[in-house]
Amino acid sequence: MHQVKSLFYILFIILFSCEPLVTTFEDVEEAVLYEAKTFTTIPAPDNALTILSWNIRFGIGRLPFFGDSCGDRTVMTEKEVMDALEIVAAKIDTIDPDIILFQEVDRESKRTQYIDQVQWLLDHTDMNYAAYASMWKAQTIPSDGIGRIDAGNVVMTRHEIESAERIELPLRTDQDALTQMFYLRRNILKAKIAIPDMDNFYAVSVHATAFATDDTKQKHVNTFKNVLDEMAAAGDVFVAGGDLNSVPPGAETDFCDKDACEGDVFHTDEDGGPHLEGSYFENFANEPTLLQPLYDTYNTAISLTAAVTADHNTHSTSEDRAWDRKLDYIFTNKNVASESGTTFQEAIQLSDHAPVSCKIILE
Amino acid sequence: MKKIFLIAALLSQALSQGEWLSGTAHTLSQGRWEFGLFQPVRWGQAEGREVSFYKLTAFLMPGATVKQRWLQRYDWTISSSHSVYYPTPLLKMVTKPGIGGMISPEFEIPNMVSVWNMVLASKQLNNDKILTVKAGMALAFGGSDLAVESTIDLPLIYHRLAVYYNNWLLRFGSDMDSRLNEKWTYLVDGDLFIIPGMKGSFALEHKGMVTWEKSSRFHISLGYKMVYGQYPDGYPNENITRLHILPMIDFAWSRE
Repeated sequence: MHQVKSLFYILFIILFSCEPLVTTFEDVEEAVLYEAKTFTTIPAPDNALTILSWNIRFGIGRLPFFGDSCGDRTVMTEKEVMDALEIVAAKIDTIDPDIILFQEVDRESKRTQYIDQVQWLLDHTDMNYAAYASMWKAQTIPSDGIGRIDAGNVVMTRHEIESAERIELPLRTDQDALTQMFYLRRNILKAKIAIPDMDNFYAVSVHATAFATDDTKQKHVNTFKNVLDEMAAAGDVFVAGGDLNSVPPGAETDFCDKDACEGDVFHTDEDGGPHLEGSYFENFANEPTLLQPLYDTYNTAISLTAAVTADHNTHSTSEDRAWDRKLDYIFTNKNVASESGTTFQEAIQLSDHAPVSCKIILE
Repeated sequence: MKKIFLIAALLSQALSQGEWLSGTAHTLSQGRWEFGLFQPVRWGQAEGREVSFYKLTAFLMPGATVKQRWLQRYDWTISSSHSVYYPTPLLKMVTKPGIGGMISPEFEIPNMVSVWNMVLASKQLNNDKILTVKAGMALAFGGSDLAVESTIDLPLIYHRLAVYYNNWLLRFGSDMDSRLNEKWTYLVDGDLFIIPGMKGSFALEHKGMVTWEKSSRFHISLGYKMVYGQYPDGYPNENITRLHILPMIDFAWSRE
């Protein structure tokens, strides 16, 4: 109740502006489309497309953000963000993808100096088109100095995006109403891309909940799979992926002690709790095998056998900790070129997630 | 309760700084006091000299204003106002982790002082109307170590605190005070803040208020404030403009 009262005065200032205090979304609505300032030539199709999925941690590299990594910072300098984006762009140029599925891309956010990272990446890579779907948009988050925020998922491609839609994912149900109001609204971004000689090609970027302690993650993965199943049933071709915040079946599920910050103590209760939000993958009965249906149904960049090995881990909470779990995936209903699945673990300073790529065969 | 007070204090400072119905060149008669919920406490310290201060921020953002009347001839009154503010305690209180943290705790808030100097000229247009024009400059000292990333990018607040980041700013304005009848008056004003050399370098504020004078000692005012301001932006732009409209209410008491 005290939180509600203290926020009243903030709301008073911004409630009557031309935009809402916190932006909410319809179940399905159009995504925001972008074009590069200058177009780059699209290479002649060679019957295959290189797909890249990457959570770029809003272009701050490994800087100690307060929301993760035991960090103590909220607002980065323009130079810090630009430097990090330059390295991200260089890595993208090296991988040379045709389609990128991004998560955690900022635009109009105080924490990253309001840089429109979608436009910046378009203008500083060989990509030509992008679609953006916000997962966190507010005039101000009156906490920790976060201020204005707009962050979300992106599909970026050399080929024209014909249309794109934002599909809302269920909100967390383990938060009070006020926190939920100001919290993330995660989504699936589905973009129809004009691939030559194909009229039904889609790219899908997803970012599932990280910190929910209820079964919200189950709902997110179920919704994601339903979207893919509907496309497959309709005869569409898709590549889909992103940060599912889930470990592959058979992988380690408890990272509480590994991720603990100084002074944190976990696993002291009789039932094994408490656990660190985002670092524990057994919050509900079948969470450890949450991704099994996706593996059972679709082709993937990294096979399940390989996914549980250290070579394909894609996340660690700080750069001085080696990649210790896999959270990032690519699925498709086309064939994946043999040996093309790659986890770029050398990119450990570029984000808290490693980029993952593969080549899909169009015929 | 502490959080409520802190934020209310910050906003009352922003909402009422040198404005409201005290925006003319006229000074209170000697010995008269006026109190408002948001507007400053005003005191006619001497004939032609008025002292005012903000009660909500008296401890967290100490400050005071002296308005001195220099000329009163025919229909014209010319005055100058001089204010000094020490915002450091209030800004330190909102620099914190968690709810209510308007500034990230990673930033240091140094000791800073600002001085606002304005010249005001009021002309009695007829028995019912007073037109006031004003111009001035604010200077700040001690803000050189203040990180530019620590700004609070909200209407009313950003452009008033900008002086501490930029060391100076210019302010221009005009007010029209008018009487509708025995019990009702209205105020229409406009203020322009210019902060040369800083991102988000201007704000145009306009206010409209109607006041019901229940008696000579108690007024109720209702109205709105519109802020069209430029704020910091990033690639591909340097700045972005936004419009906000806020409802306003105030209660004022006076005594001789």
